[in-house]
Amino acid sequence: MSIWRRTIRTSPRLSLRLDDGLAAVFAGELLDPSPEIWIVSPWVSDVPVLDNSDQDFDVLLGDGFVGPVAFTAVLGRLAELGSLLHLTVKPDDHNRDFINRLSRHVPTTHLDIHHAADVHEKTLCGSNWVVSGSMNFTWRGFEVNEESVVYEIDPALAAQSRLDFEHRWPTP
Amino acid sequence: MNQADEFLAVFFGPGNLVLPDLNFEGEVGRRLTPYLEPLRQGTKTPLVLPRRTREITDAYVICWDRHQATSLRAILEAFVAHSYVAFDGRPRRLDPADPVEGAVLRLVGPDTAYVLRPPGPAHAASMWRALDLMRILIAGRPERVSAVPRPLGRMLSEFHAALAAGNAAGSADLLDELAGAGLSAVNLAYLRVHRLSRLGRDAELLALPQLGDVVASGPPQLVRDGILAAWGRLQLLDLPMSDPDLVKKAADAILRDTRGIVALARTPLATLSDDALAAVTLVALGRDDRDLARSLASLPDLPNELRSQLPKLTGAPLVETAKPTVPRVRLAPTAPASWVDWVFEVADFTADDVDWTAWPAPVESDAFLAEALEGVKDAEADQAWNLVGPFLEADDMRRPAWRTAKALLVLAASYDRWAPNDVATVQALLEVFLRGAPPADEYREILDMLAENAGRWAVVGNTLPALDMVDDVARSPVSDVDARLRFALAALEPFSRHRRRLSTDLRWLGEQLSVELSAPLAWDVPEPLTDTGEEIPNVIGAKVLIYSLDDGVLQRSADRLAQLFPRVTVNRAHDRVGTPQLRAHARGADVIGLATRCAKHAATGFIRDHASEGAVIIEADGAGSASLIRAVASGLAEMGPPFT
Repeated sequence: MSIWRRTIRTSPRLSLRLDDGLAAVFAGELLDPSPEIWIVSPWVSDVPVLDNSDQDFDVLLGDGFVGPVAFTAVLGRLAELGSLLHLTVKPDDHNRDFINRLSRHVPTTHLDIHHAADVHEKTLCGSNWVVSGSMNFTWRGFEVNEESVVYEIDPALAAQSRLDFEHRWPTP
Repeated sequence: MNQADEFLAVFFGPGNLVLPDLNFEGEVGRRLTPYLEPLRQGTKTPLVLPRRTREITDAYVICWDRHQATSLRAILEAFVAHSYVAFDGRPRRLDPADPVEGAVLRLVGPDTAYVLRPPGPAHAASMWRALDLMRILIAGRPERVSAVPRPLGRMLSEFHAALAAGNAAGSADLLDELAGAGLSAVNLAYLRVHRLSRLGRDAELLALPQLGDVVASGPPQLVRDGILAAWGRLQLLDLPMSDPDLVKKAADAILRDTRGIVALARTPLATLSDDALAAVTLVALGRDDRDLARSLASLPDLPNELRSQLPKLTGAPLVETAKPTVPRVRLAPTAPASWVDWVFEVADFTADDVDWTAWPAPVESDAFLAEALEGVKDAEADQAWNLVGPFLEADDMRRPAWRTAKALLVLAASYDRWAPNDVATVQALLEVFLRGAPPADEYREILDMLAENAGRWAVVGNTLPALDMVDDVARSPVSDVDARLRFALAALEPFSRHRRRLSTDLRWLGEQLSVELSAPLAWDVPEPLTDTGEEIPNVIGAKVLIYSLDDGVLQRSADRLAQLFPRVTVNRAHDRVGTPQLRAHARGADVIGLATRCAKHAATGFIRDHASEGAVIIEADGAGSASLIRAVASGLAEMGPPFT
């Protein structure tokens, strides 16, 4: 049973964006990192996920993060804090660029990458939260498409999701 | 260097003298080429690879997954088993610290490789010729079209039945089949925990990598109980609850557990086993949880040893209670409330939906239950098999519900339940039926029914449960000698005809049963399978412990093992909980054979926890003497000369 659940419907026409919701997710993670984070998305881009223009997140990010902070930079910081990152994407050049960038931020000991041609779901999952819905973690997903995303704080749901992911894409 | 080359470089590297220079272009390398083709071409056909250590060359038969290993077992039986090499049908437990076996583990994972060691040079040449022929035939075999998957419900009922019947290997195979059949990962993890709990593999259960996620996922009662009970047994079996320092140490351990097992110590408590309640008591003590302590104190059948701990928190005086005979749980009004109710509602409720542990034992309603099962229609026959696992779990050794067992045996015959895993279940049902000393007409009816169907179940692939069935008949009260002889001849003749495909110990057992049942059949029991005819040195003086709750099976197994292995010491155990004597036997045993049907998890877990590090522990694949003898024989074979 969810402790907290929020559905976010993004719409560029109405200026409804996911940024604020994701900012809360990643700020929470930077405060108390999950041992494992799963990112499952057919396509993924190095989109900005935190806006540090006002330096609100300095205390969480440390020095050197000014303005919009990219996905790979936040994930790199989480890996520094001890999180193991699991990434499942389609085998594609677009995703390879993201993986190359991510590899520069994250040591191989904290990175578990899977390529799945038939992956369709889009989910982010930490130790007690799940973000899932129709949106790829790409620029179009964030800025252009109308999407519906559910953000749930639910330790049981997160654990069940991890069991499912680990079964489909076992960590070597 | 690709994955195949990396694997070959390690497999034929240190620890394997077959190709010391790793020259795959040389004479030996060229001879190896056809053996390496599946790996290099990326086809997922089994690999047969040699490994030489000193004078011995083993064959590593490597499958790509457990399902393939299961299907290859019968093929290996047919090609090489017993004629050229001892083979117990079990994949090798590979040693990750061994460079060669570590490479195999990294390539295909555990429980997927067989290691065949011929007893001497003459047998080795024959074995490799046979394996070469097997390899060629497998390579030339057309790609199999995947069969239509069986219904999940049927597989689940077979899984529960196999587990209850003590068919450890069968339940593992069914779990693998379920994994490939679309069962959700979460339910698969729950079944895995339940299986390990049922087999008393406490340490293995608590070491599961996904245990933290299982705990956090809000598991069902059965799984919650399994995890808490495993923890309780592992921490507490040797710990007198009267010692406050030891209690505090154990309480601290569960509170510090990083998988969050402490979160499972919560209400409802009514359906938890005593071992799980011990863990909950520790949590209550460890964190001064008065509400939890009061909930524990309210349980009418809380063990007094645990109850004596609670006044520290609740302030209430200790009240010694006797074990009540009423069930702990009040069932939801929608669920069936008895075994008979369940039969009438089998279409709506599976074994996972009902709390049968709270019902009176099946023997209390044996006649009504049997009658209800006899009335099951074709459309519900599959669902009715859901009862088998729980029925066997609920079996009371002293008061068998033999009429119900008979009705389920008739159901098995009527609906062709003769698959290998079903036969182990049929054997367990037959044992319950015979233990009830049925009258002559019922006895005759069932034995003749089984004899008529012997062609379906008395086949080499089912040797163990089939011989277990014959052994059950041989040791049970006989009310019709002719019916018993007809059954014995029908059941044993196929094995006598195919005796060369049986291991020495099973041929010997077949001969014993033939004599006992006056069924004159040829068995040609050979001398031990070594070129020199000598016993394996390590086995001389070995200590064996066999465990079963069935005294008859235990006695006959011990007597026969004493004849088969005269220089081995055999100890028996049928304790329901850990005892000082059981601890001494477990610690001193080189080989431990466990019959897990109706076993008390407390005792099997205790045995595992106290076994020495080098002990070989083998679960029998059935509940009878044949299975237990085979388990011990294969365990003794594992004690052969170590790798050097």
